[in-house]
Amino acid sequence: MTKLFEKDFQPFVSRRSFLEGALIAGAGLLAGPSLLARGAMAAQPSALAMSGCHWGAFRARVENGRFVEAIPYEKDLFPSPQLPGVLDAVYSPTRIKYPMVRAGYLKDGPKSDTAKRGADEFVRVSWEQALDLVAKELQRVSKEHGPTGIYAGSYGWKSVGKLHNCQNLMRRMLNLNGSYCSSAGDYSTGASQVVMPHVVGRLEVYEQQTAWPVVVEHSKLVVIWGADPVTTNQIGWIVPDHGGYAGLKALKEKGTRVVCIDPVRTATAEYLNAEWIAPKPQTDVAIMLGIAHTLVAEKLHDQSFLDDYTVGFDKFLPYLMGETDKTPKTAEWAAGISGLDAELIKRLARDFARNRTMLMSGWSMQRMHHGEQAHWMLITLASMLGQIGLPGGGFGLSYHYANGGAPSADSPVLPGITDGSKAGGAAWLATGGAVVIPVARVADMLLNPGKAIDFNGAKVTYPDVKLCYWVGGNPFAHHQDRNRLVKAWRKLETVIVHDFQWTATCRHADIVLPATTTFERDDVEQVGDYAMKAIIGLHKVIDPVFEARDDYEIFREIAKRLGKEKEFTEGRSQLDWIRSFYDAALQQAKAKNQKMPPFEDFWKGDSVVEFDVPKEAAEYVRYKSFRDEPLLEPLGTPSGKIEIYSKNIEKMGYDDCGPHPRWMEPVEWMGGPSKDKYPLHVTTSHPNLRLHSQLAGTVLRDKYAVAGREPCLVNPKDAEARGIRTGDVVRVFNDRGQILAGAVVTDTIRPGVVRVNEGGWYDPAEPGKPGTLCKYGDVNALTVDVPTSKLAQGNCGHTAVAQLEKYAEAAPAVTAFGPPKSA
Amino acid sequence: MDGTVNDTLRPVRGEVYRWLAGVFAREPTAGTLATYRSPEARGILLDLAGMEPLREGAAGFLTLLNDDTDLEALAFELAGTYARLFLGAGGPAAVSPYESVHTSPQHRLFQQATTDMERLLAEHGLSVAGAPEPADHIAVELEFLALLAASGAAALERRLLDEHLLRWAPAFCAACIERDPGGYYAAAARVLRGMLEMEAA
Repeated sequence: MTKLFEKDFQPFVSRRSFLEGALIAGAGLLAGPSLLARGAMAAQPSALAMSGCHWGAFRARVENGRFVEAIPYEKDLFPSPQLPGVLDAVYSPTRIKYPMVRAGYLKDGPKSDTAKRGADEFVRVSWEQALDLVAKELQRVSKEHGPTGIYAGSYGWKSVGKLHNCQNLMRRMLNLNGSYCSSAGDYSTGASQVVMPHVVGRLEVYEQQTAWPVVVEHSKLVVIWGADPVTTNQIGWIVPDHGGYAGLKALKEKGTRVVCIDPVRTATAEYLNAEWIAPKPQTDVAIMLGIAHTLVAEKLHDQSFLDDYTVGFDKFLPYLMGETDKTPKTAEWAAGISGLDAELIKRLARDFARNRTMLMSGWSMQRMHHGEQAHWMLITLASMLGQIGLPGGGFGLSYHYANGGAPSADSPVLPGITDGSKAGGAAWLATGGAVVIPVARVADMLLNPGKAIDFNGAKVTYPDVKLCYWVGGNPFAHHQDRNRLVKAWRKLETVIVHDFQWTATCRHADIVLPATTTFERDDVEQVGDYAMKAIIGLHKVIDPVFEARDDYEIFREIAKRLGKEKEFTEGRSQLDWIRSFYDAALQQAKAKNQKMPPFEDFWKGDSVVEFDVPKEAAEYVRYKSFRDEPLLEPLGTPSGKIEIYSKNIEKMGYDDCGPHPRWMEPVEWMGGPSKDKYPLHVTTSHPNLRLHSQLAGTVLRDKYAVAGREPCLVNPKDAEARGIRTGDVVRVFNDRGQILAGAVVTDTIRPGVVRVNEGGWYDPAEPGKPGTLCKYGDVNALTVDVPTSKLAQGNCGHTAVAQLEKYAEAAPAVTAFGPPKSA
Repeated sequence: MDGTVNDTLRPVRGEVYRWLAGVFAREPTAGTLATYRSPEARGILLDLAGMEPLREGAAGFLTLLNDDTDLEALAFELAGTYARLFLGAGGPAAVSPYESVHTSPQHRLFQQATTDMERLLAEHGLSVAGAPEPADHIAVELEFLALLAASGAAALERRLLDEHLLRWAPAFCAACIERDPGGYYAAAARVLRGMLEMEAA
């Protein structure tokens, strides 16, 4: 050990000025704070710890206290190429390091100039100051504005883990403060999850599919309609098992005929060497009607299935044949709308009817104006084909999501932290809160307090919200019509956000609290949303970086300031909670005679418990029990059958969602009145190397960014007409907004359509100013913020038309991700 | 480099680095800013401004901190600037104060440079304290350099400069100068740039 530093070094102390010879006095006059102290840092641990995330289970390799590698779990046979991005996010320069308050808000509190949100500076504060500020403000708003003054409909892809469910934890704390305005539904299946219970008596979109081995064995034709499972099965709401890839691989190896209907030749179409059919976007319902009409015209439909298992086909048929509106929905009619060849539509009808056909649909077709109609019509079509409940036939709405179709293990269910309310219920249909609004109407609510809207047969009156608390989400990525949101956001007096990195939502907040990532705290989770293959420990692999704190601890501290700490924690430590969830699963396992080690062994050992997949799970056929025993196993609809005609929806009397599926023109589309001004449809599919906006700020971006921006696929015909080449910076714009993107000229996209994936980070040229150019390519600057219909009030993230041009000016640098230019 | 200036600066370089370390370590308080108004501090800044490589930077401090400045207001403003530049709040205009972000292939925090700095500090019985910051923060590297300069550990000093500071701090300074409209951190960056040019020469 050196003896270099026997005394603390203080500069400019009592020494002679080197130029003038004058004596300078004062101890450490300009020294400022010190960051060095005597005493070497303790040695940091090296380890290999089990962990997991939305991209899969992995073992975290830690060297000298640093998370250096995410090694995919050895039993994940199809690990996601996104996994290295997780490490990049943990150590991102965009981490939030300290509690921060917007400068204007720190000065003026809830009376601050909210037009400055997005542009104002932030100032570091201590945790004590930040938590006091939050607790006082929650109490003030509740006192002055009652139970609907706080919006806690916080939505988004929070991190995995049964304890650190930040959205439940937030509502757990807020339930101790009074009540709040909450939200129902989600942005994934907003329309379908509301209409499906009327049609098939269940949510349908989040349910197990006919198992992949059955599809591989029995399906002669697989139709993948508006879905890209090769891309989207990388991620899971919990830790994904990636079992869908085993199914896709087996299908490919068998050489089953696959048809992909999509404006883009997707990775799935490529992988399965599928026939690619590229209609005009938003015309799926018209195409299905054209197919249905052909089935009837050629007597290919299964009348006995329709008679035995459905109601209302007799009321739908006159519409289909044009008896009610003088428009027969012929293949020619559908061709005129969709841009497909009428003969092709007829061929599809014949092929569907003559083969064992599995119709796999994604959710894009319902995430557009009148989105309720799409899956309703798909199920009507599948009913006419009569193969629902047969091995390899019928339809499936979740083959592209969370590895639906991967056979389910016989696993106990691991519970998680609750919001503490008595309401409970499924997360996607939360009913807690004083008022519940449809989740995608948040900007509309802020802009129109007091307005009453229809929602699935009920009326909802928008409350006058003053404070918004957002955790585990990024509405400045997932919400439509960014500029409308920027304006609506100004209405809030106070915006509080937790996150681990500076998202656009953080930049538009008043109080920003740094949360830990999953890898900086302990938790427990299941593997496989549908497969339920294992329970794994999510171990804290590194200490929290900077001053980040766990959401649990942040909310505990706030609850403490509300005088409710004990109610929040129920006297438990974090590990007590984790053990309680595990033990609840252990009790179920015991009842089933399954082996699960005691918690201590699980936690200190390998931290993986696997569950067997029973033989019958690999043979599961969706709706088989209903088909076998329609009277004993009725559906949850009023008739107990598939409702092609819904009397309940008829009673609602909505002009934009009638009692049976029908074609209605979307508010804007390629065939709409705006087609001369904005001739291009903008398709906004889920990206390949992100989870929505998550991991956009990571090294993965190097693999897809073009000219440093979000890629924009353009057909050669559209590119040539505009003098655009691959690599050019282009501007995509409409009356709502404008974005820059990097052109990729390719014949894998239909003419008249451009694709910019959703989730590119919003990077406004002039922050806080509505209409400003997004320099990176947040496609939600272009989409419409209208509801799908009065029924579901879902979002229309796939509804947008625009114009495209080569960007003539010098393109401004992308700044959303914040690495220094010099780096 | 002018030989005379070089000779004049060298003896006080540790003191300049210690001062800059404090400037970049965290936001100034009004009290910190007030010290700049003392005759002694002004004397120092005038001395520094008298040397060409540091002229612009040192003069920047003198201009910013004239007698009319409301120091509370300035401290508040500088807290915002500090957060925007160094705490990530202004992603659009951030300047990462961490060596790792500048030198690691993937521009991440807590990479090899952090580990190397931790080891180097540990070898000399030191560690980071007072803030949960990694050891490759500009302020840590500068404070360590100041200690080495004051202790006459020339070889170690050279190593810290060649293996760390000179590899990234010039880019850090350039980014501060470009992105700090208020001028306080740009002024500090100009002083640091002048010092490092001298070291590199």
